Amino acid sequence: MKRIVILYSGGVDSTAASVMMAKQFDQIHLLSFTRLGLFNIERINLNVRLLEAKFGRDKFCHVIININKLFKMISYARYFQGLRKYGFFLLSTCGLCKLSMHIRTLIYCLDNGIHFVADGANKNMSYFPDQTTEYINEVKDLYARFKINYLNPVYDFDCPERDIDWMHKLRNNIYDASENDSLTKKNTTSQFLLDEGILNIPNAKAEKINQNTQARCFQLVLYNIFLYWYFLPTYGDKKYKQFIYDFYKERIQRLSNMLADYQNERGRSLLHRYLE
Amino acid sequence: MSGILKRILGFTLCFIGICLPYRLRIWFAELLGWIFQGFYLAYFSIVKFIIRELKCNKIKP
Repeated sequence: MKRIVILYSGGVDSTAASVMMAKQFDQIHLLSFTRLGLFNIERINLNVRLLEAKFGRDKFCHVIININKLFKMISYARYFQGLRKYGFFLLSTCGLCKLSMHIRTLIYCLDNGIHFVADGANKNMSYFPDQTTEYINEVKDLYARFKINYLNPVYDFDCPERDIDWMHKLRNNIYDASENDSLTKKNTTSQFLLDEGILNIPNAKAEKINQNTQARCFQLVLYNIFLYWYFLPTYGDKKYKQFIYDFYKERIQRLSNMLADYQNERGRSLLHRYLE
Repeated sequence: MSGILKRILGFTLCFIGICLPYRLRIWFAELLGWIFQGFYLAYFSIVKFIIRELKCNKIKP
């Protein structure tokens, strides 16, 4: 039986990834995560129901895992050393949170003997550290060290950029119908889900429905302040990419060693203390 | 907001954030989130109202 784990947020990108993988694999493990600071986690179930209706209940296994201790450890380990070297980059919460999710997913795969992992990472969200190529390549290497293939099936999909701008949000029909129509025909994940009959509205990524199917996290605001008000104006884009590469490479290397210990020692390893 | 003001405010908020322990940082981010959400909603409500009124005036004459 071919099995795959999907890091599932409930949004259109991870739902589109789930649909694509559902056609290639026999069983899909949808892993969602919760921790302090994530709210309305139950919203994720809305799109899981739609997937089950399309492919059958037996195809999916939805699990919600608490990563609170793991995220705390990854964010605060060797704090002062990190502070001296990377400064405010320690506030890149989104990348650290996603790294905790990857580590927990890897443990899930090791425990269950699963060799494939996928997520909804997309090239258009490249200012999230976890969706940059530098980060993704490091994580791919980490999975590969444990003989797991990490896939990004929706990475090259388009983003309906004009459709999610502020004029659209005002819902005043600024664009004429033909213009809107041309936007919906782009190769977006929302359009893919519409074609597959999962969603019944085009450009769902731009609509409130996409927010209503995902957990809410306001730590994104602190990260955006750090990035757009401080880091990018001070250091620029090139330095940002370099920081991501150095910072996460170091963290991933340390976590890789911990994972190797986990694999060898199971219940007695250091990492075991951070699992809930 | 001018670039330099943004950078000063950004630095201040980041400095507070970096000094806080785990739980407090999360609640601090939550507080910032609600403040920004409030500004965002007020901004959109006002612009939406102005556009609606302009549209009404355009149709009436």
